[in-house]
Amino acid sequence: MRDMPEADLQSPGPALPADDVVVEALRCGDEDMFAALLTAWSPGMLQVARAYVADEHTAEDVVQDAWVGVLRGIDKFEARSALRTWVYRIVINRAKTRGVNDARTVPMTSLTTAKEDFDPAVDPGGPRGGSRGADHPLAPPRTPVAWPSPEGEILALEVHQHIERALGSLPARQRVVITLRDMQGYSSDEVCALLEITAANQRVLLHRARASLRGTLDRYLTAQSGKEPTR
Amino acid sequence: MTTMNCDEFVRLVTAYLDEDLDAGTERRFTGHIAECGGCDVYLRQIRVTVAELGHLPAHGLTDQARETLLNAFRDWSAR
Repeated sequence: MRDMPEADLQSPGPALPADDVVVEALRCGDEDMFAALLTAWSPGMLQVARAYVADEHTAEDVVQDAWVGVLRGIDKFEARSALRTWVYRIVINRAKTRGVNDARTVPMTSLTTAKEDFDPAVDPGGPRGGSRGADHPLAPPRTPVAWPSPEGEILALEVHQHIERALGSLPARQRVVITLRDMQGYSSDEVCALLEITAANQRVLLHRARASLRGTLDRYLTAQSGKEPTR
Repeated sequence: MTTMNCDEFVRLVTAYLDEDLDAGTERRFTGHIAECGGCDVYLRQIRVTVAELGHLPAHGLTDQARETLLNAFRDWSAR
């Protein structure tokens, strides 16, 4: 039985042979194939692991551990999902466990489902300050101002730094969704299947994460206004 | 057809970008863009945010981690 084949992760990343070819090569001890997989998939796996753990070093530990898990499990891999989906599930499970064990640095609450994941998603920094802002007599409507173009090299670098910092302040559930959707290009169906969440939940998490990052960029870039041409 | 306000616009922006609005709601959504400069800017900023996320540099494993894993592979395949 194949479960949810439409959710298989196929598109992003460098081209590799078909799954059955890759799996057979690994089982036969083809080190070049394993090296190619490490190159192709580790960057995405590191980004995903980083959603759950406190720093890059721990993320690398998790990814190393996940690859060892892949080797231990590859003989039993039954191709019910794409190989990459299976590998990503391993890294996500290990990263979650590590995140819980390291609860000193990552709050438990950021790893479990929260009520707010299902609340109507309004951006408090949006055009009218969200519903509460708009209804509140003391909260004037806040109209977004066009950003300066982040085309300049230094500005682009700073934008990346601000985004990375803002990613660090997102709850794990939001961060993993925006990582898979916007950083790695997976579809919403793929993300739902991978994380075992509903489409509505995925949408709210993505919405909140994007709104939060837009707010961060807005605070930074509007402070740059007047220095650069707007777009 | 009722008009859309800014709150509803903001709430639907992610569904719109996923091309998941029904035809009527999508018409109201795009109609609102034409009328509201603030929401037009907001939508463009969300698009820029998404695009910038796609341009973040991705890093691979450190040489040391890679070497450890290749060794693990050799041990595993000699099992």
